[in-house]
Amino acid sequence: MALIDTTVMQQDDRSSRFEAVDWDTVDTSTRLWTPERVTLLAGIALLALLYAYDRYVAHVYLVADWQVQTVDWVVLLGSVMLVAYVGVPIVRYRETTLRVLRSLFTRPVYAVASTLLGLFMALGLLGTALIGSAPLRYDYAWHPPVGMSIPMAGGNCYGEVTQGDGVTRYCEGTLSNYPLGADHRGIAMDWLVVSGARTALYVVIFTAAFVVPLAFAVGVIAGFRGGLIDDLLMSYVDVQLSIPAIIVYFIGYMYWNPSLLLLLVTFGLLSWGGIARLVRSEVLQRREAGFVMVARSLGGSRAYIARRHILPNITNTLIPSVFQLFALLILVEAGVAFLGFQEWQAFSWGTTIAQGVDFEQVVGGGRGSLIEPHDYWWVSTLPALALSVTLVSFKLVGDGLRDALDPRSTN
Amino acid sequence: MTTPNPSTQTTRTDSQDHPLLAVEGLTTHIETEGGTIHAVDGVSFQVDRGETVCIVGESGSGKSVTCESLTEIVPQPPASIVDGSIQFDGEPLHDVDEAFMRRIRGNRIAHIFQNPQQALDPVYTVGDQIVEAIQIHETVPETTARERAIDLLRQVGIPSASDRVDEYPHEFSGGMCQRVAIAIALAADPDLLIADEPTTAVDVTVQARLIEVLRSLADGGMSVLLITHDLRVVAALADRVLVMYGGTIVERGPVSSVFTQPSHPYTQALFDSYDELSRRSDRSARDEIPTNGCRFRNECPHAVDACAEDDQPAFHAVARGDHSVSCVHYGPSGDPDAILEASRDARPVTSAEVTDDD
Amino acid sequence: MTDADTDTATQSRSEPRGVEDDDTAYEPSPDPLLQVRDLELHYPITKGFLRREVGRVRAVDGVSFDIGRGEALGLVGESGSGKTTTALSILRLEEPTGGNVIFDGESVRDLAGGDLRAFRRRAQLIVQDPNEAFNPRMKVGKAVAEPLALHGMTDEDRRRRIVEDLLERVGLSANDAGRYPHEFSGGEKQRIAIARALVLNPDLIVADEPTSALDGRVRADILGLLDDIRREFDISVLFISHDIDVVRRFCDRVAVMYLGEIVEQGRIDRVLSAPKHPYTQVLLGSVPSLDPTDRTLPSPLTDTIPDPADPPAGCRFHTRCPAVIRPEEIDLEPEQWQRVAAFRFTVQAGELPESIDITGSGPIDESTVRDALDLPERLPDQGIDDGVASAIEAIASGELERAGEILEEGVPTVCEQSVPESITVDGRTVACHRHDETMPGVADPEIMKPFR
Ligand code: SF4
Ligand code: SF4
Repeated sequence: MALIDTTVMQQDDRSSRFEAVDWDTVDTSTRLWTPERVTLLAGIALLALLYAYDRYVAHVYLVADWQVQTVDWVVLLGSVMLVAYVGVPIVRYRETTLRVLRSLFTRPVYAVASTLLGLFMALGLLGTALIGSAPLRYDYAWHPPVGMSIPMAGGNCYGEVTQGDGVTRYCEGTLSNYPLGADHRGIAMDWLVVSGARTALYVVIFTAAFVVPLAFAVGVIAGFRGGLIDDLLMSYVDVQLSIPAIIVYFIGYMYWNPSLLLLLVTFGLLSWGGIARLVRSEVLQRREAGFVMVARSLGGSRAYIARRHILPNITNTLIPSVFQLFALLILVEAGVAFLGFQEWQAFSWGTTIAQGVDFEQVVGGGRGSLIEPHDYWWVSTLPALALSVTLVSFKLVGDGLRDALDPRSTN
Repeated sequence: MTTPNPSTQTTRTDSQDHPLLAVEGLTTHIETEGGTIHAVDGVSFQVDRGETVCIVGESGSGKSVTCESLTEIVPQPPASIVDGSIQFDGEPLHDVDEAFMRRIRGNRIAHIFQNPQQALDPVYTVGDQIVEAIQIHETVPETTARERAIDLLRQVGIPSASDRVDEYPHEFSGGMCQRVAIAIALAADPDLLIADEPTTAVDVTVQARLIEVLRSLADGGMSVLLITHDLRVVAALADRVLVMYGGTIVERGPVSSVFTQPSHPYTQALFDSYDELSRRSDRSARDEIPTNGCRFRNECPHAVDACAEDDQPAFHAVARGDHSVSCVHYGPSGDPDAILEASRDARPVTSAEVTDDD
Repeated sequence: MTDADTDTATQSRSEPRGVEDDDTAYEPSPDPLLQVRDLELHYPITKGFLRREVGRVRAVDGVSFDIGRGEALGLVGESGSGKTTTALSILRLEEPTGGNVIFDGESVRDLAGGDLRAFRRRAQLIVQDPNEAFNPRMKVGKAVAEPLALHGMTDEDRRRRIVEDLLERVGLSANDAGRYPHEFSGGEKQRIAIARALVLNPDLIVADEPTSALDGRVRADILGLLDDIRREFDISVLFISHDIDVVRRFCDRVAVMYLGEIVEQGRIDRVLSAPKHPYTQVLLGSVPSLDPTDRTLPSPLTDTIPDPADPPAGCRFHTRCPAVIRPEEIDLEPEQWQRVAAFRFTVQAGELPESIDITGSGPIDESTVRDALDLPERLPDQGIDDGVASAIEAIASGELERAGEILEEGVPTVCEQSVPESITVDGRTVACHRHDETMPGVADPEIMKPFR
């Protein structure tokens, strides 16, 4: 690009007053086809095709043995939205992304947390596809992980079997089969942990794609419009904040089967009030700011100002609380599942933990020994570990992103 | 009682044998990411009893840090008072323990700031806050303290004081808040009031009233150390003026003399900014202010090589003995005529009047 | 009205006419860029969930002025006078509740679509606080280019070219574009704000206290830069400020606002060297002189600025006006009249001085009241003397409200009875009865000093 010789320009007279712009020739129509919109539309179209295929052509399984349910469709739609409005900007504004990542990774604790979070996402997204489905194999129940041994509960063992007291036989874990052990159904722990990650990721995607935008929208509208609209929205939020989501979930549970979708909808859609409030108060603080006034005087629309000037400036409070919400909802899902009010086929970490602390079982017939939860500790410990690490990572990455996004802290 | 070491000021007749406040070589550094800032760099001055001294300068000149260093209310770190001696009423204020300093603060030296709302606690009535200030320094019964509070509010010109004493800060306008802040500062009957830009945040009509309040305090015998960037406020209040630039005092003297004959090139530049529109867009704010010699030399139209020498040019008397300026041209070998000609109200100075003071 | 009285009145009103009349008459520009007519912005005060309107804050109440092409008009007044609201209504950032703003012949209220966009390009805003003038998350290059982008210039290279050129023009360097706002000082940020206001080649810049966050030479530099730029590009400026020094140096004309109204308006040299409206006189007189031997400061009768939701009747300044007009049937010396008027409005504003605190303990005797309010023992006008005496009696017995009523009745003035029209006097317009010869009553000679 050729730079105009500014010294020459300064000497020129008024006619060359910087670069004269003939505004009639400038295309003032706002761009309709932004990459984000294109991606969103393409994604939705693809999803529609898939849905049609699933309904009318394929029968039980969409691909391989994936039985796509409503919740999957919802989450797929959410993913499309996230790809369009998070993924595309990340690529479009590579420089900013790189700068943020770089500063995120300068502090080791945030670097570790981000890596773990990345791992969690990858497992949740690709894990089940990679390791396929898990057949029920009760004969390998409580198969120990590598290096462990346990009184044999199922009839089979991949590792060495040693004879203990009486009829008790011990099964040794192996690296090639059940490296992380198995639960009482003989389902591999690695598979369970990965499945749990997928369920948790569903929670995150649903929250990020539907709950957070709702909270933002309500907060921005209330803060910007003020007046009656503000009063109404905020009174609604007050009411909503006083409804315990778990009661609503239980009521729904009485009428429908337990399902992840029901859980997501009830908890997700009843838990955005706090963030909406936060957004509102931040918007209120900033809507009179000088740069907002200037943008308004330039004819910037409310949506433009919210997107361009308000949201980037409230990330300090917002990013941590959004990540907190992710963590909270993952924990809620696990908790509900732990209590047994979640379909077990979702293989939530909560379900697995519950099963890992629940069973006492006599193995090996009448005189066999009793095995207790601590004998097969991996069933509860591994998902609990995964859950905790995920929760901590979310919180840390929230804080890290807040700092990384603030240009004042990185300079 | 001992007389503090003779300062660079000429001696003044005083009923007591020492000034209320004598500051010698005060030096305060502030650590920042970009390095150490020499915020206050060897500042010496005195405040006599009943006298109003104004420190005038632009933001960043070190005028506020100077005053905050006196009672060590400047946050340390990042600031650190690295040198200097401070004598208050004949006793040293430097190197004293925190408890002693707390007794001095508020009790004998009170501060008020630019933004009174910050100094007032929104959840207590102004009366409670004044009563609290009274009771911190003196054990008096609640009712006596309350009466004193009402008296103080009257003294600073708050109408219907006995009603308003029970109101909260948000019920007061900005100017009224500043009066309340002054009342709190006066609660312990201090000897010295340090006022940091007390009228900057208010309208001129309100400023006029605050000026009258401060004037009546000075008339009542209180010493006032006023910090401002506004030469007009200086003209309205000061007995003596200290002009600060880059952490140093560059000119000082009685207000009448400094205002009729601003002599330091920086002081003249300050006065210029009140006159016609300045067209000096060549002045770059990014130039580092030097930390030795004359701090103003990068911007000074009269700068010569000698300006970069030593710590700071010595003070030389101008016109009247008490008015002196830290500029090499006023020294025995210098020729101040060129500078004085540029002055807004230059009056001829005979060389006999220009005597070496240091 | 006796002949003698009329004479005095006429004489005193036309008295301070030191300057020749011909070239001084206030002449609006024949083809102004901006015409503001009876602009009015009332904020409703609402109550309860249903937002029932219980009153209106008259933030701007019938303001009219013109700004010629290339002219700078200063709008001065205290905080709460409505000057910022006026500016925001002109830019349509607030919806006026009445009146009209005509920009280059077209009513701004009726603009829509492309015309509105063109107006948004031609009229730019500079805000007061440089620290919040920029989105802290946006590099200044982007911020300066934002107006271009918002108005549809998609060519990034072209935007960058324009921005870098502008940054150099305002005294910064082209590679400052890649830095964030917090890396600049207040003065530099204000330079960037000027660059941003210039990027669309505006015809009008509305500058809301552009220098009040700066001090000393930085303030002077920014003012100088703004002045150079407006002259070079022939930009009209609406310059809002409470700093009369700054307005004096920058503006061609000045309009003084008080409680939502313009009280005086005219050429800067006329208005500032010989203010005609008592409020202007108080305002200018309150700026301390640079001469340390001149330390007088005028005081208005009362310090309280009335509530704009309930402005005083007639002339809005009458509760504070030291030059308030005396009815001719009241026979008092000017100073005496001023004391009595001050007494009345002080009592009505509840601003009784310290020494007569009626809520305090014990009875107050009448001489204390007289002393505190500087009222003489005896006033030559019998009616007034009686009124004052009974008001003092009421105060002494703690009946402040009754005292107010007595005084309101006994100390009337035309200033509260009729709203002053704007009239042209000595090359400026003034809204004050003192200058309206048709008004009854005696305008005592002003006890004001001029602005230096
Ligand atoms: S000492 Fe030198 S640089 Fe400093 S003011 Fe005097 S002439 Fe200027
Ligand atoms: S009309 Fe009366 S009250 Fe108003 S400014 Fe003029 S003299 Fe004063």
